[in-house]
Amino acid sequence: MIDFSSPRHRAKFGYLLLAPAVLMMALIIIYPILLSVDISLQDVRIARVGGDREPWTLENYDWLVRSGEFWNAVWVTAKMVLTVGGISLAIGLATALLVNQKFRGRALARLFVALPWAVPEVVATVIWAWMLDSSFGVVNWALLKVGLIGAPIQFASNATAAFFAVCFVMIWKGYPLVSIMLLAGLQSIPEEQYQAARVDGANVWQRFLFITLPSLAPVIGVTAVMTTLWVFRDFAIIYVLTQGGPIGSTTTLSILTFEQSFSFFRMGQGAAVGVVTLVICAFISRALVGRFANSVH
Amino acid sequence: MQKRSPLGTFGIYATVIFTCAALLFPIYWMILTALSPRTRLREYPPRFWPDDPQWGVFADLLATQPFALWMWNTILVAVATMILSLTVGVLAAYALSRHRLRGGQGLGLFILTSKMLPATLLVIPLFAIFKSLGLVGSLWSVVIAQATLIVPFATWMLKGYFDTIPPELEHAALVDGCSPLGALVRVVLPVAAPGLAATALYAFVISWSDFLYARTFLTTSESKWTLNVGIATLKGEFVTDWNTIMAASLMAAVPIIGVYLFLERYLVGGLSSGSDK
Amino acid sequence: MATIDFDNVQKSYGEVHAIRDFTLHVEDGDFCVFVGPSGCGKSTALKMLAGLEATSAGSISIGGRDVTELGPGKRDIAMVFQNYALYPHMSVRSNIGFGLKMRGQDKADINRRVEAAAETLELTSYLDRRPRALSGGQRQRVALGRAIVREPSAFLMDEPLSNLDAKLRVQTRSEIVNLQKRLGVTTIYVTHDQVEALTMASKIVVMRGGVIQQIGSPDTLFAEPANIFVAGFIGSPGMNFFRGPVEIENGRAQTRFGEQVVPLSVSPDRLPRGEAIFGIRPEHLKIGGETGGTPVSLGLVESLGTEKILHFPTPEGQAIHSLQKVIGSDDAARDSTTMLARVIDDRRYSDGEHVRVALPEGKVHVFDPETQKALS
Repeated sequence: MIDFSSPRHRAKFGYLLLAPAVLMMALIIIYPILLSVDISLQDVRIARVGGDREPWTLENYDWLVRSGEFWNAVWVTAKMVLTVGGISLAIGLATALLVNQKFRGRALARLFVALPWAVPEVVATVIWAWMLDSSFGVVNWALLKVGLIGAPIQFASNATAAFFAVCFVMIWKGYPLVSIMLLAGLQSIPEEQYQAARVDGANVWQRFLFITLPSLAPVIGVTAVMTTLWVFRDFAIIYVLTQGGPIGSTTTLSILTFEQSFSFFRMGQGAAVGVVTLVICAFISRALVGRFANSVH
Repeated sequence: MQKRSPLGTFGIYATVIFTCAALLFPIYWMILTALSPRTRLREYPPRFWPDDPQWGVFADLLATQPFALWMWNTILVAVATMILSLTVGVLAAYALSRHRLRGGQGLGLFILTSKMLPATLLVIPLFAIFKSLGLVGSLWSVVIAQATLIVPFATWMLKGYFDTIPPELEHAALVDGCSPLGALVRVVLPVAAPGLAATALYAFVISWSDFLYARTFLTTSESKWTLNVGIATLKGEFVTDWNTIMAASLMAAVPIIGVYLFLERYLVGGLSSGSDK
Repeated sequence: MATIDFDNVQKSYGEVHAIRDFTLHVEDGDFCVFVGPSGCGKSTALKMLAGLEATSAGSISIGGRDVTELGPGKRDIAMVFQNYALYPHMSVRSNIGFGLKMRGQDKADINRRVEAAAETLELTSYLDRRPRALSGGQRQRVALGRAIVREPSAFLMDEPLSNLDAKLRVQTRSEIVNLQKRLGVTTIYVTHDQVEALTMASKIVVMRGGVIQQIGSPDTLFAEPANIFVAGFIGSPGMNFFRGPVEIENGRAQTRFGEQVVPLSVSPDRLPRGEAIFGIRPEHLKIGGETGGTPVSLGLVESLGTEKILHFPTPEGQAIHSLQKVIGSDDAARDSTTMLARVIDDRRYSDGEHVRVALPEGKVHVFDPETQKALS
């Protein structure tokens, strides 16, 4: 029996504590990732572990590069990242600035402003699906009433409308995190900086431009990367709202991966799309990990 | 701080109220629809005030649908995930925070990176593994799959909390005669209790919100569904039954909203930890 | 009650040596202070003694028993930390009694001893409070209580006073010394403050860069510093240094300080040829004679009431340019071209005033310019 309190053996205690996590990560993350690469290199419909295996082939990647579906998914994902990322960032920044003002009831306002964060994605999606309903939805009613449109928008069958419907839901679910993180960033800016700027005669706009924005820049960067990754990975919102349709107008890489694997049971092709997505995500998250790495130690 | 003019104060409040109203309208609409009689939903113009609230809808839901079972499944999965990830996470996070371990930094980075894995990719090999283990259709498959996201997250969040506890506390406990494990259990964990609670509830929230894994692994038997799978299916099947769907959604959202209202202070720290240091 | 022995203890982190050749014997009942600038290894040495850090080589004994491989709980020691490290989730009573509880004492016994310790430290009325509800001074006393209740064979204290305000620090200083005298428990005390070391210790260990510079009583360190570092570190302000020629006149060694010829008490054959480094304590300088000494112009006069610190430039060509490196950078007030004199008299001094400064015989220290060791 080792005495772990001895200074000589204390480090071993650390490794012992770490062991379950390492083992678990190896079994449920590392091994599956390797397995998915393996699957992407086989011409399989339904993957199994053990049993017969197909020989390695690049067929799935060949399909990927040639198929319009993949390039369409890349294009849809990119459009969605820009739309959702840009607008969530704008709303998040605006709301963070708003609830960073000093007023009575500010704590309550902070709570409410980020409340959509606490609505499960599936729930958020069905709420919007109902609000965007083409016959009885409140959005179409309001737009007709104001006179912006002459006939109800068919959010389910119109490709452009469906794309924006997905974006609405994502923005509504995505801006609260931005707001929460930017608010934390705003609170870490010392009040003295603003006082000094005021003494120097800077107006509200100049104070925002020369103090707030530069101080927030790192947080904005991290937040932008996190939102991007979230759009890349999201499944529930698109799948519940449009299932990727109509005619692929909302099929992102994530949806394509799932659709190939579990709707058409072409797991080899699905895994190939997924592996490529993983590589793209890894490149994007390098920016984030680089920043986090400093805080690891 | 300068004194704000009455007009400025009015402006602030008007902006705050208008912003909150606009952003939270979907939540209000969910509640309103849930309480409306079904026939009202097809009337134009829509009503914006519940003049005839149907409170019975929740009781009906719990009685008639397999809804109660779905809720129970969701709770089981969330609690199991919470316990699993907290146990593994506490041990790992404490080790990473306190011991200068060889490879510890690499592991820290890995934990971070795993937050960015595309779940739809992971679901393919996991499906293959669970298939061969005979776990497809079992709630355990969802618990294990969710652990891929929640264990790294809990570890990272807990490490942040442990880092704020001065190491002298365990040193004192060791000098007082505790074993290293005793120092963790008797001193560090009680001191970290708020952080543990925040992490546990956050794990609960992530698990509760999962759709992908439940949809993939549990799809075959309706009695094993979780709330999210059930609601998504209701939306597909009963297109006109919006008040039932909204009532189900409301009941699925309430626990999470409750946790959020309770935890908001901790979440700001937890979510943004590492972003501004 | 125990002696403490470090036998050739080493500590390295990879290539970096934090502690080298640490050998020390502490007598039973000694109050031994480890002092040195930050990063000198004094805390590491204490942590190795506590069993909180592993040694890289060498052995440590407490009361003649080799404890090198034992855990902190098995060394029969108690420790007081700089931040007190009180358990925030326990009452003062449980904090003080925790160590006894871990050693399986029965409840009544624990309670009796906790109350006795609380009585000694005037904590009785706070026993059921949480540490959070106490003032800094009270927390400090709880930390002491946690140490004394166990009646260990040694107390280890890691800068226990540095979180207190100046006035309380002076008061607590004497309380700790009295407590230690009464209990007679061997104590190792770490501090960066040489005043604490001089006022509290029966034995001082001066450290720098992981190496022991000198071990001795406060008087010895003050009167006979072993090298330039110790001479500059001990004393407030520390010793003045200047370069000077070594001359032999009638078989006696002498040097020059400005216009003054300073006879040395060191025998000529021990002195280097050419030049040496000389030191004089600020309180030993004679200021304001009519003749003798050397004339200087005062740069700055700091008055502390009766006591005054006079700044004046080191005589032309006698400043030591590498002094900063020798003394260590923490002594920011020091600048090698300025010397300080500490006087207690009723005279008023003003900036720019011309006075004569004289070095009395027998008070001048001589150091080897190569090894920086004291020559005597």
